[in-house]
Amino acid sequence: MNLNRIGHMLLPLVGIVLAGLGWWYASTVVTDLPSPMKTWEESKLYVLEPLAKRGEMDQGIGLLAYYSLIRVARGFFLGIVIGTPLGFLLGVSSTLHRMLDPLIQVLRPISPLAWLPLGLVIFQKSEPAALFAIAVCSMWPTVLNTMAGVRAIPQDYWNIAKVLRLSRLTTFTKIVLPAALPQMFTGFRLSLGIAWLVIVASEMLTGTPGVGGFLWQEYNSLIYSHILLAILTIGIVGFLLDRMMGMAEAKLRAL
Amino acid sequence: MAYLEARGLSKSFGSPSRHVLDRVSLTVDKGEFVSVVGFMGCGKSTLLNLLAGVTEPDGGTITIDGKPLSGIARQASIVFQNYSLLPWFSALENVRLAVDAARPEWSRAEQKAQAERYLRLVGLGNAIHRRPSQLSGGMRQRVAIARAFATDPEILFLDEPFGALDALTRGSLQQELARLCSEAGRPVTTVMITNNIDEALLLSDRIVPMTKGPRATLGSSVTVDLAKPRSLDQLAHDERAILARTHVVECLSDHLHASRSRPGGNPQKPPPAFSPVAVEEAKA
Repeated sequence: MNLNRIGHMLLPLVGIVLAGLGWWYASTVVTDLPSPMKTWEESKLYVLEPLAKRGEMDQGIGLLAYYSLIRVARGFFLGIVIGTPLGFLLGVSSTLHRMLDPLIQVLRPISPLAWLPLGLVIFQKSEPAALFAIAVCSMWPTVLNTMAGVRAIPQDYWNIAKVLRLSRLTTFTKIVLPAALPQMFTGFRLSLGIAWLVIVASEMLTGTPGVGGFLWQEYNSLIYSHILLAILTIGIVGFLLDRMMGMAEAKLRAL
Repeated sequence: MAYLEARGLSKSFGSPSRHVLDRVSLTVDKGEFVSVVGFMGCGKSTLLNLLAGVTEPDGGTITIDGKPLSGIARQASIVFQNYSLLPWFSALENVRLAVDAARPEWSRAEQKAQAERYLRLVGLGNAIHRRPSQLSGGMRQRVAIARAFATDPEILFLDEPFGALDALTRGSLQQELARLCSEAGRPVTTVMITNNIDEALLLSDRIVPMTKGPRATLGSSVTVDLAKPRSLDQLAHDERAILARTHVVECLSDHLHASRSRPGGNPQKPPPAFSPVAVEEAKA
């Protein structure tokens, strides 16, 4: 039992060490790929002074991640503000569902790289275009999960609304919303994951400061170790975001 | 004067359509407690849902207090077998929600007081802040009953209200229900669906047997002319109760014999030679 627990703690570390070894080996084969040690040497400044601001792109990694997070938060918020009501409507009305489902299935797989130029055409500026791309890419899991959550409400609950002659508003706030909330939250979690994926692409294309913008600039400046730094940062932040949403979701389900 | 009047109700489901009910008629007087007794799956619940206005009949008419029914009547409360409580609300909030819908003009405090009063009446005074998941099946059904009575209904529809409970819990809840009906401010007209003849005898003024569907119809009804409250002991020995039971059993098993061969002995009691008229005589 105890050994098992130690194993559970150690195994992830073993995985990380093995991946590091793989990285190191790859760097000996591919000449331009910096080794883990070199990456650390060249990135130290950005990691140890995460909030330093030396120039537009030359900033601590914490600050860059912060810019990206703010952008993601705004795009994600926009996405769920549009996606949640849409999901409710699709869940309640089968007419609307039949009308819009094919459209959603077509829009859903479109890459952020495809939406961004359209956003630039519409809004003429990079920041709103980025928000547009994030919102339009990340809202689908919220739409579909909210819809599924509403559709999965047991007939029993609808009967309560009917039998007690609840008003539409009361039915929504006291029955539909609480019943669908856990699954809505699953949608939010997936949406946030996608929003974080989109941010990198949109920052790369628009060249705005953030982790993605930094990554692309350092590639152009031939500082390859910073690409790896940015990649690791993106991964870790994404992981933490998902964990946070997962914890909130678990709390909600336990209610 | 009939309070609830249903004439020629028909209902079918699915395609090809299956006729569950075929021209069923039932009248219930004001303040009367009528039980519809029948086998599982004979269409009892379908009938109740029609009477309560939860679903619309394909044919036939229903009037409550002289007015044709459309949707669920304002003065009606319904108790379902599966409690139908909202799991994210406490017992108190579940009941208050019903009071709020029925009495929107009351203040929140008044609604709460009313909900609390009825939860106390069903013996849940100490559990009002618990959620359904923290309550036993019997307690949940008590909440559902409190909710039904808290809106001060004129007519009560009970769909196998004790069906999901164990025998002991069922017994005590049946008594509670009888007490609530008798203590209500005005006579509560009640239609109960059940597959338990003893339960029907214990609570009803009149019992209507229902034949097995498809195309279920109602048999001739039996008046249970015994003073309330009744005890199970009394039902086992009183001649009128025995006669009423016999009539219901016979009516149900007659139909059973007509539809398939007789099973190995009657599970209830050997029906003696009997006609509904005898019940009417026995009353006098």
